[in-house]
Amino acid sequence: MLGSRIINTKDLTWSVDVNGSTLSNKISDLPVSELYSGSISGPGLSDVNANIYKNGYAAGSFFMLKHLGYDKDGKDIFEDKTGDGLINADDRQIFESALPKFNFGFNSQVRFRNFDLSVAVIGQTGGYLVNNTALDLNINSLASDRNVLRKYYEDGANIANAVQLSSLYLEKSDFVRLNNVRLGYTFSIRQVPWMQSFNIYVSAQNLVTLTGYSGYDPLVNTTKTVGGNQSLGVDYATYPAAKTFLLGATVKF
Amino acid sequence: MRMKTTQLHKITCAFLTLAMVSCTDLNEEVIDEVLGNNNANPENALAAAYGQMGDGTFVDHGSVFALQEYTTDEALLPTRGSDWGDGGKWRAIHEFTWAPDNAVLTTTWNQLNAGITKSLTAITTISNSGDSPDKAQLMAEAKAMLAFYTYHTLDLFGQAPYRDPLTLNAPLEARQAATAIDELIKDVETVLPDLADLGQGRTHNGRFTKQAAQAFLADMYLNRAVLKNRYAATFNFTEPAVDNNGTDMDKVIFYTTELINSGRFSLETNYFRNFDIDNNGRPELIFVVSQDINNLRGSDNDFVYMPMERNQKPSPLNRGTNASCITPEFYQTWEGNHEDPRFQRCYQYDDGTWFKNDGTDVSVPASSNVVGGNNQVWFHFNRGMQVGQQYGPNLISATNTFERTPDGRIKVVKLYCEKNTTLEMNFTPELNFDNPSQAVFTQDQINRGVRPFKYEFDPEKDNGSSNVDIPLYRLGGIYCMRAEAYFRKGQADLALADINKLRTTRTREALYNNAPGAAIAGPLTAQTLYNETGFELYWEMYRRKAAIRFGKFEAACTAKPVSQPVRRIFPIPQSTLDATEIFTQNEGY
Repeated sequence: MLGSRIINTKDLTWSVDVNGSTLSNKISDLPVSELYSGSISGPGLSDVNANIYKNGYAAGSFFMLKHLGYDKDGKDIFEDKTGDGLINADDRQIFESALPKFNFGFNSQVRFRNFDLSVAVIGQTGGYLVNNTALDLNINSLASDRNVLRKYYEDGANIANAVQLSSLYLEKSDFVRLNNVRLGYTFSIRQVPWMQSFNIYVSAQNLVTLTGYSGYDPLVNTTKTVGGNQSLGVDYATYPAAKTFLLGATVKF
Repeated sequence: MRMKTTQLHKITCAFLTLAMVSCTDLNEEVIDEVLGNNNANPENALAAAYGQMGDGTFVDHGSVFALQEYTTDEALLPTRGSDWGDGGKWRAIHEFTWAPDNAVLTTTWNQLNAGITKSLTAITTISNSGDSPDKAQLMAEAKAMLAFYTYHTLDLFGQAPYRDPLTLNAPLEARQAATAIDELIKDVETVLPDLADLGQGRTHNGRFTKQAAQAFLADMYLNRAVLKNRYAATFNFTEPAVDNNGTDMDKVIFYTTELINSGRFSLETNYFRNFDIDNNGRPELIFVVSQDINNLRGSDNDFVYMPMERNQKPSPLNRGTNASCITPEFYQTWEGNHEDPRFQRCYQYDDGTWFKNDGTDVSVPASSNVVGGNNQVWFHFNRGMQVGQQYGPNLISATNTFERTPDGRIKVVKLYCEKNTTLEMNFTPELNFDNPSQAVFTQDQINRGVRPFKYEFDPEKDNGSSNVDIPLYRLGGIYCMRAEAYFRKGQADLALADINKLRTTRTREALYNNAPGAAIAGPLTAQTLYNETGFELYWEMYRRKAAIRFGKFEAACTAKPVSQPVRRIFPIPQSTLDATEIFTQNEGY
């Protein structure tokens, strides 16, 4: 973490601090061959797990078929890892982990005369999410013959494709979020002896998120434990973080 | 004061540290308390051992049934568009690509292991109980159940766990099929005199009686050569029996003949009567998983819920789930034999109306109500193989009732698939997978495959419960075993007589003048005999064992390549290998 008061005058002060953390981990000495977690929800997805814990791989690594695209009929093409001409559970491969490799934050506080403005930005890179919600929504199955996601259709997928968890639903969870903005104005009211100061402000939380992630919120982690093993990085129908606006006042006595 | 506080902290810390490092060896000396695992009464402990059969093991399609049937030409559970992909765990069983992490294998292994454990507990409990008039009988039943679960585990996985139930803290052992099969036969032969005759001592066909034990012994002797030399190109079926008195096949003939000549059992003329909701105590049933819909324990409707389509609704509150079907190869074996009473049977309503399911039906009476509670009108589907375009009631979802004709009867309409409302519910014998080696249907193909409605759908409670007792041994199967034993002894004429006894005893419904099935002419070939056992025992968890004995298990089939003999048994689940070192993984996995 680095912090600095860049400007410090009577009328103007500006301080900035940034922080960042990196994470790199690898499982070792797991006394079993492998453990699964991150159960996937939806029809035709019983006993399907997205996470694997295995020696030599990061916690929260993903385990699934690799999606390569669609053929001329819109059928899924998966990587035939075993090279036997068949696509089945043996072709699953381990993908990078849900855990972000780098988390960062940026905070800025400016005071100009009676105005004050503070801004907080957070973000992460290097992590992945399984968009289980999208997988479920692409299942064209209900009696109503419901729709699928626009992107799925426009990418040329055949909507009659069988349900299959694959890297098609594995997305980067990188994002930058304007997490908090606060603008205030302080009145100095000398006429009222019992009041030291009076500050009114507007603030917003979760104002803007820049991300390539197609789900609601790249910062989710739906609880999807399997046999007590923690799940990491599954997004299934999680209610997104709210965007909050506040108008407030601070009175100091 | 400050000094005192500090000291108090120090003392507390010391105690806490002590508390954390002490008690590591907690061997309790039992003086007079009753330990939890010893306080069950003998009947309860034995009931738990029986109960495990109906707790998924032999009644859920995803356990023993999956391994004995989905591996063969009799059944498969393909991915059907949005459903039954399930990470490929069902396909893998039919495509012969299962691995030690397959959830179906793990489930089956764990359920059979639970049966072994509960049987061992029953033996311990009965052994520790006071003398009672039926103690010997209860002990014999518990030992027979232990042998039964162990046999199925050895048959499927080649190994089974065991712990001496009469020695405290006895070590866990792994029994191996090749040697344990003889021990199991001896164990069951030893307890046989202590078992009750069916009906004696408050027994019924859901308990191990002398008759169940005879059927079990015939089954073990029929498969003994396979268990002794699993990967062999041919099996030595006529080696001397365990007691050196005759051969394995002589023993099969002996025990099956005992049952056939006992006068206790008889073949149903209506074959499907064996699988009816009220099949309790029927004369052909020797040993069953007794099922009842009540609040005491669960039951399972899977064996008919699975093949039935979602828009096939036995009542406005019930439906099938459009899952399992048979292969084109198995359907082909019925070619020229569609008049066999076991192939198909139409339902006749009490006013004389037949449901023919051929497009000519207009309506059926709405006078039949679901038995046992929900007072819904009951639409009876036909039994046996359901082929081609399907017809049935139309559910009006707004009122949740069946569409009626002006005269108040249930209108019969052409059916479409529920999850693809423009797709005709046409159960085609051909599966025609896009990729012939993968049992995957797109959403446009979910109608395919012939569905056997062998077991009656029980709409009493929900889609998952049933009063149908699941036959494990019945007289029809006993004839099949004897026919095979005669055949392997070179007495093909006697084998043919048994097969024709089955064929000609069954009769068709009144719509076809109660015509009996036709006898077949000799000479009986192995292929014919194999087909005939399929006609009699399809979807009864018999096919995989028969396929191995007849050398059919490795052959290619729809969505199944030619396989290696190592696939005759399944791998020990990875989770078990991770947890214990007593098992070594089976060859080839």
